[in-house]
Amino acid sequence: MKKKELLFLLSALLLAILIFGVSRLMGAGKEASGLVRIYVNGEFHSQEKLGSEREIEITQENGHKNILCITQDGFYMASSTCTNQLCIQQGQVTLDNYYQRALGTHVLCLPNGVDVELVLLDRTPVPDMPDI
Amino acid sequence: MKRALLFFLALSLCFSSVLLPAKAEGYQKYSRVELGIFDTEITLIGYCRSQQEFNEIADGAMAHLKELNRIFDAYNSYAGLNNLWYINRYADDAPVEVPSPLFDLLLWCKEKWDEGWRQNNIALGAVLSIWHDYRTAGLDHPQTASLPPMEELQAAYLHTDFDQVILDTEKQTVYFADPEISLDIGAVAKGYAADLVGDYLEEKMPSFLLSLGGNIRAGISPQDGRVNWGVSIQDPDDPAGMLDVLYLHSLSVVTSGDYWRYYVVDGKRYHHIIDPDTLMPADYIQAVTVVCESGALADYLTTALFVMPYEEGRALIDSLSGVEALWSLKDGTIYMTDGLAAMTRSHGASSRE
Repeated sequence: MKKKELLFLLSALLLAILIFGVSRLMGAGKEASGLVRIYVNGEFHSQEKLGSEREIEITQENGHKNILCITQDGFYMASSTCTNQLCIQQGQVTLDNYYQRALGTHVLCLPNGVDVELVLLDRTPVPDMPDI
Repeated sequence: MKRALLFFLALSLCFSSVLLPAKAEGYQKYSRVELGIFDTEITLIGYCRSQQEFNEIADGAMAHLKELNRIFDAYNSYAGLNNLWYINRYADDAPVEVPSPLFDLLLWCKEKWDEGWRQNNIALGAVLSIWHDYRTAGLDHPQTASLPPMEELQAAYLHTDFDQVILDTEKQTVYFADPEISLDIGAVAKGYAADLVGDYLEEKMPSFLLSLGGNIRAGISPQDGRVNWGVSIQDPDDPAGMLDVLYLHSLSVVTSGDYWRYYVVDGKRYHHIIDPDTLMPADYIQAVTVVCESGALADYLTTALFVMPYEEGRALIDSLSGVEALWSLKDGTIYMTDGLAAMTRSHGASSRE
């Protein structure tokens, strides 16, 4: 191989490493964000972006009412008219506990038929995270 | 020419380093969560070639589960369906012909009973329904929550002999020789249903994970290059937290804990798994997980293990082949069989600290 060709190959390699590094850095710099998707009785209801702390009311014709609190990095059920209050006990789903939470990425209120899920935007999956 | 080749090589190197690893052979991971069937949340995860294909299979699985829910339902009647509610009401008059899934389930439990298994008696309905009524009333009106009187429980216990349930395999009928007897299949129905729907899924979408509350059935390996599915086990002290993760495929995992279905009387929790010896909620274990091929057996065993001390349960599990278990005791201790330890993320070092 000529010296010129070797030089060319080396510079191509260097370029590849550079592009890889820059793409990684850009990815790391991007702020992880998420969407909170709300389902009522199996039907899609609405979705909210994470951000400033606020409360979302989910009121149904039958009088069932859930109040969901959206935070900077997740959400939790703040109150519910259900009898067992298990949805309150299920705690928060956040960007931090997303992969470790035994109950997965949902908070469920079975009596009221409300299912709330955190969906990550722009994050690659962790290979050994539990499926369920 | 050489230069062009080198340039092409360098270019492909650039792109391969930037792009994410490709998905395996066009399979994608899809999932669906449904509420309201079996009074719990149902999750189905599977690898399919398209969303449409997954939707059709998931629709089929959910329809199957809804039908099984109606057949195994002890609280509601449905026109023209001889379900569990119907048997409990009419099987003392004359033998009642029942749909195959229910008959097969009762027969399966009867065989276990005849083999001498006494820790999980589905004929304990008369006792369990009293607890159910007190628990429901206690949840509706926490201030006046109370415990069922022991005399009432003991009187009901006189009508819990499974031998008084007569199953005719030829006519597929059920008859109660004791008119006061009542069946409660809550401790095995979900596992049995997971098996039946799992068989359907094995044909349609073999790489799947089906969860009916704490009853999980895993199909063959996920189609993304991994060998095993990751199934998390809840921390009994913090049900939103995780005790460990089990990595497995082609197996069923069932967990029973005292932390979900309970009510509070005078500041003390009373959960729903009743010890047939004391007629009170079992007090040995906080949570137990069983892993084996059959979801029905795993479900049946978690209830059995819940109502016996760890040592006795350990001896039972060690006497069975292909069955693994994990116990979380009230004092924080965790025990597990070697086979189960090998499946855990922590390699057997699960901790509740």
